[in-house]
Order: sequence, then structure tokens, then C-alpha cells
Amino acid sequence: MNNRERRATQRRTLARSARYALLIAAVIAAVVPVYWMLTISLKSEVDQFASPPKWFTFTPTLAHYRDAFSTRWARWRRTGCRDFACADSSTEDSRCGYCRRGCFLRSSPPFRCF
Amino acid sequence: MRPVMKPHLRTNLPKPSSIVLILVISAFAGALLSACKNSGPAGSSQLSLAVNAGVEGDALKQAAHDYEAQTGVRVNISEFPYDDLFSKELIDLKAATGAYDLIMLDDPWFPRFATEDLLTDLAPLLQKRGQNGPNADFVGSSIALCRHPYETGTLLALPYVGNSQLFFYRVDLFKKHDLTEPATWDDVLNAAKTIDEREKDGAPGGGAVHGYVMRAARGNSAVADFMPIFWAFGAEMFDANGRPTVNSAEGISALRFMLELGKHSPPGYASFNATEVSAHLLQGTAAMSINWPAWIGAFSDPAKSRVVGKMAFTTMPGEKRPGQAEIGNWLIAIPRASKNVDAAMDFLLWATAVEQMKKSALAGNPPTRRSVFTDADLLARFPAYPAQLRSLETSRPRPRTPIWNEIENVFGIFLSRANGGELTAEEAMNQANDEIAKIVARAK
Amino acid sequence: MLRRRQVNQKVRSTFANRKAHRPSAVSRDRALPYLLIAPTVAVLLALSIYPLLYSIKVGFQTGSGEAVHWSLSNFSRLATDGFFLSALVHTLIYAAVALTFEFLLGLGLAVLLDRSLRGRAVFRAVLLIPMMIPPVVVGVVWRLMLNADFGAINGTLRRLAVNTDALTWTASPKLALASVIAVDIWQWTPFMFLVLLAGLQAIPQEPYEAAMIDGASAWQTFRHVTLPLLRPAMLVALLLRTMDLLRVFDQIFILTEGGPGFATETVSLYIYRAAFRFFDFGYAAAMSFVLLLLTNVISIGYIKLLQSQEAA
Repeated sequence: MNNRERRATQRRTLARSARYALLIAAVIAAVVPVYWMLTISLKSEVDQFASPPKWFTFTPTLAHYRDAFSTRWARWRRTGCRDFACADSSTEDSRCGYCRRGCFLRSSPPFRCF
Repeated sequence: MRPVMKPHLRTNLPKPSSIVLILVISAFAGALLSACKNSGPAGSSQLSLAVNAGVEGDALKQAAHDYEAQTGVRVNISEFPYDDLFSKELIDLKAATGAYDLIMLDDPWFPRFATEDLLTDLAPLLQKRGQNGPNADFVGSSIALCRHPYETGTLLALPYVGNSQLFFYRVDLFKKHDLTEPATWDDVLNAAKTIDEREKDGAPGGGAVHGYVMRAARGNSAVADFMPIFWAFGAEMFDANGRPTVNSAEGISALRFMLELGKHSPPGYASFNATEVSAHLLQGTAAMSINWPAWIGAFSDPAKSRVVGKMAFTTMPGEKRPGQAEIGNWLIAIPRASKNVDAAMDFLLWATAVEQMKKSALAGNPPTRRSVFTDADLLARFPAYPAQLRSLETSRPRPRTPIWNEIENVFGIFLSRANGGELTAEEAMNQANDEIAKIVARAK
Repeated sequence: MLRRRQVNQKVRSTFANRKAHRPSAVSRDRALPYLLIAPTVAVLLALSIYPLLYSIKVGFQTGSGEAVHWSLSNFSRLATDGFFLSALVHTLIYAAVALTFEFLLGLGLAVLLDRSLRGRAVFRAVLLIPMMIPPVVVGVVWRLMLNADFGAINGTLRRLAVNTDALTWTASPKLALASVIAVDIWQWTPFMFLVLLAGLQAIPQEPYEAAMIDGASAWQTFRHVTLPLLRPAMLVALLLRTMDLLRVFDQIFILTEGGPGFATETVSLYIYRAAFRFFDFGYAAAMSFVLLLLTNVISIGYIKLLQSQEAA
């Protein structure tokens, strides 16, 4: 009786652990791409395309969030920013006159079909 | 005392539910009507402008603000992403609603608008202002795009952004392996082979450096990267009668060369578009490519590039014919249905004048005027300008046909399949030619 | 009693009076429900039926501007267009494979979470996350992950010393369709899981107890008790998912845009291209009509199956 009971309990625990294992595997599969998406939003472009991929070892940056939230509104603010050259040229991104002061922010990512 | 059942008397007042009904229906109708109201420009003190959501559109928007500050004419701006812009403009112009007084268009769209007679002739407007034609300062190839038929016909637009492809290459690796700047596509292939052999571990993050990287994703990507090779090998898309000739001997050898060059590209390039190509160049895992000038700035930005200062830009290599880049200008035109043609012309001339074009250039848009390309301040900031001007002056447009979208789509499919290894160069070109012939026949 | 008869008489006469003398009152009563649903029907007609009929009309026309005329050329072109037939084949393969895997995985997860276990609510919530992300965003993230050189998947495989030269996922003519289907499975299995879990939890305890008394094994219980009682939920889930799969667009557009070559082009993508790149609305409308018929036929099949099951 004892043996059979023990074996039955063993089988039940095995079944239960198997269930947990499968569920955890499913959770990992569901969550990993979402985690990756989060890291992309926090990485600079150099790190985003790094090979081998940087899962944890990167310096986070909030630049993309700043871009996403500030660009649309700031563009229409005519706060006296003439031309695209900033008064303080040291903060200027040479590419397209991006003034970090929020005077006139460029919005387009470089990825576009020509 | 008797329990009498009082009959439920109906009065003549409307039931509460009917009142609610009437309110609901009228509110609904009101909402529908207000949504349908056309919001076109009211009078001549307002202009309406459709721009692209991107660097080019940003510059034109800034110009509009300056114009408003200067003249008091209000410019309403509608901004759309690239694909939406085309459909919005085409649909609106065909319906002749007059919703836009000025539109930005990418030059491959121009034949479609021009053949359907949707744009205003600019010559009489220039005459009225005492000019015989477009300013000679404009680069010839850019103005040629604005004429219908190409180069010789009526002027229907003015060029605003003067993009043409450049050849990008890693000058540091070239020096390291004693290679000279490639002048022909054979040079390119040899350089690619050399770099592939000798730079198996040379990438900044470790790993190999591929000699070349190209985009061969179906559609615009594949065709844009293939046309310079196609033209350099002496091939033409159409003969004098408008029949497709992509499967000529030159065309097939051009595709064979592309496949050969593809062996030195990173695997999977048959699905690359601009994103992947630029990622490879910026990460230092590829040494050469065709690309657009808008990318130049990214290479000197340490937040984006691992090869700061190592990239050089030159004109397209040649082969049997001198190298020709594909031109890709943004033009501004005035729809025929616009109600403020004169005011729009004033703005157009102002926005494409030297001062405004210089501002646009500072924002990252290559200009279309020679004087702006040779301006000292800009040369200091954009050292690649001489190469860009040379490239623009010798560039070639994509075939000027209103059905280019369909042709490019089909051509791109077969190029992509050939590069993916599904078809041989001959099969791909023959099948592409058949499909293009079908499209041309259907359009007649 | 007299009083009651009198009362009844009075009531009957009042009713008779009502019918005879106030007809408008009663007909207003009857008309009210129709008046109340009139706005909804109007909206439905305006936004669903009218565009449908208009698009069918456009499908039977060719030419543009002034030269519009009626013709069957759009439909006859469908029969000979190799691209359309390929797209149709791709769509059907996509739908069949994705549906099968989503169903099996969803059923498995639902069975795992049916019985109580610790942290069940957490598991359920987390497993639903992929479904909550917009398909476009899913496409973008997976495109970055599946990138052959810079993607996380190949990068990790390379760390495990796997040769990834041939594994170019969305760039490989052979693997592209499979990769795109895999992304769809990742995103939509939670939907199947959700519906099937709800179905499982709705099954009462008694059949299970009866099966246990009869000495049925776990597998026999599953096959003869669970599955039959789950059939309505299964059919609903399959029907909804099939209709969505037949018109899939977002993920494929972002992941491969139909490439490489034509390997992942589906009917929806081709319709989009015909309508908004080539501006050939007649052809696009004709294709949409064919897709609509196909979806209708399959859906009616499912519904008939469901009805036969209910009758049984």
C-alpha cells in the first residue's frame, strides 16, 4: 500500500513539475521579445545593431523617449530659433540641425525608402 | 371600492423615448455633416501645402513659417508619410478639389501627375514675373526632371532637394590594402574580393568585414541599387519604341555581375533594404555600398557609427559607360486645381531661392542650385558636396513613365529572386521582361 | 363574483375601445423598436453595405477618369495572373499552418492552466501579453530580432556555436514563410488559449466525476469528455482566427513586405499594392471580392459544423 501510494505521489509531483516547467517555458517565449523591444528603446543605435547582441550589458539612454514625446510639440514652437544653427554650436548634431535646446527638433528617423 | 382597472390613457404629448430618438438622430446627422465639411483655403491670404514626413518636409515647413513671418500669408501644412503622400496627392488632384496649392513630389511620381495633366504650367507664371525660364543656377539634371516630356517639355515643377546616389567606401581599409578609389565596377569587385579575404576579423566588434553590401529587397530597394550597374553595363530598360529590353545581353551580364558582387555581401542581402545596408556600414561589417547622401551625417555621429571618420564618398563607378547615379529629387509643383496659383508661385520661387535653399541644406537636404553647392560655409560643413554635385550633374532618372510603380514592383521581384538564388540571371531577366511587357500592353 | 365579471367586462371593453378608438397608439407601440434601431441600421448601411456594393461595382469596371466602362477583364485577369494564384496559395498555407499550431499550443496551454495551481492568475496574465501588442509593433520587433546579422536570435545561436549562414529567416526564400508564420503563432496563440480556457472552465464537473467513477484514464477523459464538450468554444475560436488569418496584412508587411521575391506575398498585400501603388482599383476590388467569397464559404462551413453539433 505504502509503495503504491508513494509511487502515486511521485507521479503526481512529476506531473506537477512538468506542468510548471512547460508553463515557465511558455512564459519565457512570450516575454523575451517584449523584453528585447524594451531594451531597443533604451539602447543607442550602435548598441541596437551590435553583434553579438547585448541583452543586459549596455548603457541605457532616454534619447528615444525624449524624441518621441518632445518632437511633435516643439516643432511648432517658434521660440525665436532662426535657421537651423544653434547659438551654442557645441550641442548641435551636425546631421540635420538638431538643437538640443528644444528650439527646433527634427523628427525623421533615417530609415526611409528612396 | 371596486378594483377598477384604469385604462392606460395615451395623451397627445410625444413619448420620452421619441424625444431621445429625435435628439440622437439630429446629433448624429450634425456630426456627419461637420465631418464632411471641406476645409479648403479661404482666400488668397492662405496657402495649403502637402509635404513629406521627413527631413525634406521639415525644411519646407520651416520655410513656410519664415514666409508667414515675413509676408503674413498663412501657410497650412499637411504632412504625410511617403506612401500616403503619393496616394493623397494623386487622389486629391484627380478629384480637382483644390485642397492643396502646393505639393511636394518625389521625382518618379512626376510622370504620373504630368501625363494626367494635373499640374500648372510654370512658364507663363515666370514670364509674368519677368523671367524667361527657370534660373540658370539650378542644376540642369534637376530641372530636366521638372519638364514633361523629360528635359524638353513644359516646366511643371521646381526642384527642391537634389539627391543623387553616392558610392560609399571605407577609405581606411582601402589604404591598408593598397587599393585606389574604384573607377569601374571591376575595381569594385576586386576590392571586395581583397577585403573579404584579408579582413576576416577586421570588424570593430569582431567578425568579418564583407567587401560589399547592397539592398536587394523586392521593389524599390533592389531596383535602386541595380540601376547604376545596369546602366554602366550599357543596358537600357526600354528601346526607342517603348518596348522593354531588360533581357538584352547587356542587361543579363549586368545582373550576372550583381550576383557575383552579391557573393561578397552579407548573407541574406536579398532582403536587405536601407536599414540593413546602413546598419552594416555603420557597424563596420561592410566596406562598400551605394547609398543616399542623407546617410552621410550618421557616419560621423559616435552614437550611431563605429567607423567615424573612415568613410569616403565618391561618384558612381562606370564600366562600359561612364558611371551614372540614379537621381532622386524632391520637386514642388502647383496643382492645376489650386485656387491661389499666383500666391503659390510667389511662395515657390521664394522657397527655392538661394537663401531658403541654404537653410534647407543646413537641415540636411542636398540643394538643387549650383551656387549653394559651392557655398563656402556649406562646404565646410558638408565636405562631400563636390562629390554630390558631380554625381547630380551626371545622374540619370528612372524611366519617365506613369506606370513606373508597377514596373519597378515587378522588376524588383525578379531581381530579388535572382539574388536569393531562386532564378538564374537569364531566367530572371527574361521573366521580368515578359511581365513588364504585359504591364506596358495593359496600360495602352 | 359579479364584481369580477363586471371588472373583466370593463377591462375587455376598455381594451376593445383602445383598439378601436386609438389605433395610432398601438401602431406607435409596434413601430418604436424599429425606430430605435434605425440609427444603427443607417450606420451599418452607410459604413458596411454601401462600400461593399460600391467596391463590387468598381470590380466590374476598367479604365479611369472619363473612360470608365463595364467589363469582366478584372476577373478574367485574376484567372491568368500567376502572382495572384501564388498569393492565394501562400495565404491558404499561412492560414492552415498557423491555425493548426495556434490551436494545438493554445489547447495545451489552456489544459495546463485549467486546474488550479499556484500563481495561475500570474501565468494567465503574462501569457496574454503577446496578444496585447499591436501587430505592427510585433512586426518591427521580430524583424529586428530575426535580422540575419544583427538580430538577437542569430546572435544567440552564434554564441551557442551554431552556424547561422543558412538561417537568414525572413531573407531566405525557403524560410521566409515559416518565419512569418512563427511570428503569427507567437502573437495569436494567446487568443486561442484565452477562448479555449474559457470554454474549458465552462464545462461542469459532473461528466468528469462520472468518467472517474467509470475508471477512465486521463487520456480517455480528455478524448471523450473534454473535447466533445469543448467543441462549441473550439469552433468559435477557429472561426474567428481563420477569418483573421485569411486577411493577414500587418505583420507580413513589416517583416518582409511580401519578399524575398514573392515568397511571402498574401492576397491582402497584393490587394494593397494594386490599389495604392499601382492605383488599379478595379483589379484590387476584384481580388477583394474573391477573398470575401472565400472567407464566406469557409465561415459558413464552420457555422454549419457548429449547428450540426448543437443539434446532435
